[in-house]
Amino acid sequence: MVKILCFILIIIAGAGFSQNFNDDNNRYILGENYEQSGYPEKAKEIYEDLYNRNTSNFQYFISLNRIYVLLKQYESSVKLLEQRLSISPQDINIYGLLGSTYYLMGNETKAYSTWEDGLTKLSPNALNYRLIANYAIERRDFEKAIDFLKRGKKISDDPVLFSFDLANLYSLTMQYKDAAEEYLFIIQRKPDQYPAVQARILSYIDKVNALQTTIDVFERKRDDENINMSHLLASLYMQGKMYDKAFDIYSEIDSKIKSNGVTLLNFAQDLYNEKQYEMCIKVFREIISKYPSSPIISSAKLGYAETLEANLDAEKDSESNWRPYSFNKTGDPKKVNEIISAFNEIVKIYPQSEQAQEALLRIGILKNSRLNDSEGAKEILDQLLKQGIDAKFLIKSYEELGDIYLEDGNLDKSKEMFQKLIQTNSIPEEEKNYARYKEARISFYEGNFPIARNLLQNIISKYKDNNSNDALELSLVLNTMMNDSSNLVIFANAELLSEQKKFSEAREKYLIIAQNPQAFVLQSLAKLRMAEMDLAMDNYDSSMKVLQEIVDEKEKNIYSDKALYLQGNIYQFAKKDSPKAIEIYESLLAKFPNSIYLDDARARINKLKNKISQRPEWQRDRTIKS
Amino acid sequence: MFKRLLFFVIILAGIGYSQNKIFIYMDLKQTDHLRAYGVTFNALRKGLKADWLLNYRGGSFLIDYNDQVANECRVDGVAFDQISASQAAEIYSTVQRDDNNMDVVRLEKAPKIAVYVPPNFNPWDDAVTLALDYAKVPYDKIWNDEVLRGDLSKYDWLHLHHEDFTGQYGKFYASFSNAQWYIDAQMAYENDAKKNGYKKVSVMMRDVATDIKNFVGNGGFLFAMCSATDSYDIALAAHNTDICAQMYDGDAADPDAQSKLDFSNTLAFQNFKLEMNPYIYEYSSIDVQPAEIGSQENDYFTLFEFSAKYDPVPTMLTQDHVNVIKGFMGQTTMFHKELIKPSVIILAEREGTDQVKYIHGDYGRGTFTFYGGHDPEDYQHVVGSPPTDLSLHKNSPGYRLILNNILFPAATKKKQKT
Repeated sequence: MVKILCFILIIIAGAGFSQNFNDDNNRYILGENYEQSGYPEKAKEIYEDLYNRNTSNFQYFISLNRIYVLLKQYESSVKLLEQRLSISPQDINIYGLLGSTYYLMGNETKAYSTWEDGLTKLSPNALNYRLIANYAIERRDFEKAIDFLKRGKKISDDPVLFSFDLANLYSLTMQYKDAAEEYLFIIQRKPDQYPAVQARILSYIDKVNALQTTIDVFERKRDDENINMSHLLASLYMQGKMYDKAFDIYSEIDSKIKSNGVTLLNFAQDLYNEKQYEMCIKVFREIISKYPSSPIISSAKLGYAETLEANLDAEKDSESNWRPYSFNKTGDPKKVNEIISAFNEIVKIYPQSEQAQEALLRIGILKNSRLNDSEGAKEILDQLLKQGIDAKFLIKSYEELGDIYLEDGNLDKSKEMFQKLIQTNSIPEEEKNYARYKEARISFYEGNFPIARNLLQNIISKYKDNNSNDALELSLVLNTMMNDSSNLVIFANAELLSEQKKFSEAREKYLIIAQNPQAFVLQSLAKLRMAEMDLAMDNYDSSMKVLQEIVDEKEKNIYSDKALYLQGNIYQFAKKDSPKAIEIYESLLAKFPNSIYLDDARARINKLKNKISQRPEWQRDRTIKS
Repeated sequence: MFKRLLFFVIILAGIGYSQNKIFIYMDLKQTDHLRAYGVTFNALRKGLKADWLLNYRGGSFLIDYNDQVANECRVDGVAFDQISASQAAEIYSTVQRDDNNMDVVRLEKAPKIAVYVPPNFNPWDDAVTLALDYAKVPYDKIWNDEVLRGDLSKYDWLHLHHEDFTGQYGKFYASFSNAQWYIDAQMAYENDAKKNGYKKVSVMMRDVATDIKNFVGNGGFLFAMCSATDSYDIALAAHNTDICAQMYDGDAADPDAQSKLDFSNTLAFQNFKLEMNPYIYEYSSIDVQPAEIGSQENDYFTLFEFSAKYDPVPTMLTQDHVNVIKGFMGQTTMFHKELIKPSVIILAEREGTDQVKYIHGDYGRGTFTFYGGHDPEDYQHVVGSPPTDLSLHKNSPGYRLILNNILFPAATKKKQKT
């Protein structure tokens, strides 16, 4: 019975305690709710009550201090913290909080001395410095935080931890030299931290003076044995576009870690992405000569060939496409053959592979367009088409062959190439329409005008197709001149000659039509073509004269705006006379307010004016006077 | 006979003297409305006179004929007609007829423009600089140092965009406090404050806001967009209190901040309620919330029509080729009507709602105009959005409203018809 009674008493007492505990907990939650809902005074009342009843509860204490600070009742906060300090004199956090409150009161001296007290009164502990530094950071007193961290680092067993914090603060306060020193310190002691260090440095490296200052630090303390440090320096050189220096370092790394060219290959790929072709070629050559048996040699060789070609393309003047017709722009045969050899290497190493197919296609195109070797090109492309090749290479191969046969004057064979393309199932409709357009043009050259017209009609009906504009243009000539087939035949012949780049012969044919007043619409177009043939042959004065005749015909010649536009082009690109080019373009704007060349003319005027305004004053004057 | 001869001589002399004009029409036929403002502005810079024909063909411009200006129009793609003096006279007479709600405003001198932007700003962060650059209107960039040392007196027109005058760094804390751009911006502000002798950014910004207010009081023209509108007025209202939470200025906000707001110190807004939660991306109740706006498809605002002859200033500010314009959002998108001071003129609002887009008012000898939203051609411009290419929006009615503001200070003041 006594036992039962005892048991019941214990249960009741426990329930009472639990009730009390739940009450306090609920009140605390209510206080938090008041605080979050913007009623800090009510929250304070609850926290004060809870804390006074249970001063050992850390949660109540911290909440009460927080609410005092929120209410800017700093004196109460100081009192509370000092009281707490007397209970827990070994708690560094209380020193931190107390210092913070003094700081908020505007008493920085007292804040500093409180923080210092915490550090000196307690047994030396590096982590205490880090903790107090965090209080200074919270107050955004970065210089004081740096001071604490530096002192903590001195006594720490893990100074790298402090270096990360210090470097972060130094970069934040734009003290890039000191930040670099800290990162260097980390890399020297823990090279495996390289990725983290690199990511942190790159996050601020684009700020003013950051890059060069960081490079200086790493160069001065360079340790060839620390590969990660070398990697970091090389990546900084890349950021600063100091590719030669980066190359030297990557070469050293590659040798040291015996990566068989992998490091250099990665570097080359970065260079290619940055369009640094010359340096990229240099790197690929280094890989190919130094590591001929490396597993990455095939990638290096393909990369090398592609970079050589990209470099040759980049050499082309970006403004060289202004002529409506031009001869093939051949390159230095030595350079072109070097590219072809590089592609041939791929074909040899990986016969029948996709890379080899691409290499063969590139060789065929290069032979025709860069070496004017149409026979060689045909041979290669025929050989390629005999293999079961990928559709994207097949399209390009047939198109290239079609064009080559057309240039050679073998219209049947050219037509056959385009027809094969049309008959291939696996290629997109737009590519087929291009082939249809080309077939129509060939029929036009042959004088088969009704066939040409029918083929064009198919394309025109698909108005969303990119080929429909070209089809429409040719169709207009055909439809307007259907009843004057003799002149149309001459014109078609001239068009074929111009496509075959026989510009002089084409000009003669165009002249026949231009001099024939019966030729109606064709007369205007033929005149324009004459000027375009002159341009293709660099006969600028003759071209200019013909164009002027067209311009003078004003609205009688529907191409007079284009003629004026071409005159502007001649001044801009051939004669390099910017003021005159601007004058011509401006007159185009004034005379032909509805011309389709207006936007181009405006863009060119603005570009030329910017160019002139960037020149020194004396040069600007001279240009204008001349 | 002699009298007749004399008359003909006078007429002939008149014709000889009379000058052809460049007529830049601004209705739907205009090919590039935005650059038309630039052409007119630059004509004024050259010392030419221009007339702004309010409500005539979309608010057209007439400039004395000049080859250079005509050429500029062509190069910039601005459509115009070259008209004779008699054709111009006909237009003037139409515009000045009493039964037409039209008027002529003579533009005399191009205003000197300053844009208040931080040194690290990108042009696409601000619709006004985009518009000025596109229209080829020159301007200076100024920041806190320049404002605090009194450089505002050098300018006629000042533009504020989405800068935060309350010292809360745009209230981006919840979403972006760890983003590098936010950290950099906060450091830059703090360095600025330290350099200028302030312990708190919020206090420095309050002084900047006060200097700008004095600039307006002394005759300056203030134009603000996006969050510069409400954050500016909030900063002025909070001159006696601390509204910034701890993460913004190191100490807690004044719990009684709301009751300490001084609405008599603001330019445009009153009786608004502060949003004191530092984690909520909103300053106050001034701004209209996305939920109130609804779907983008229905978001249009309407320009009010004013009497050109009696209210030329609001008429100038609302010149446009359309009067219903598609809306666009911003950190501050629109203003609640009941929080706008009665003295302020409402220029545009969402019809049938209490949502106001565009307002104008006077303070001292100057004026202010506030336009809600960030970018008229990017409905929901967010941090990191690509820049708007204005060559694709040459006829943007929303952008036109911005450019009306730069020409309006060039207008000759004339006596109001009362």
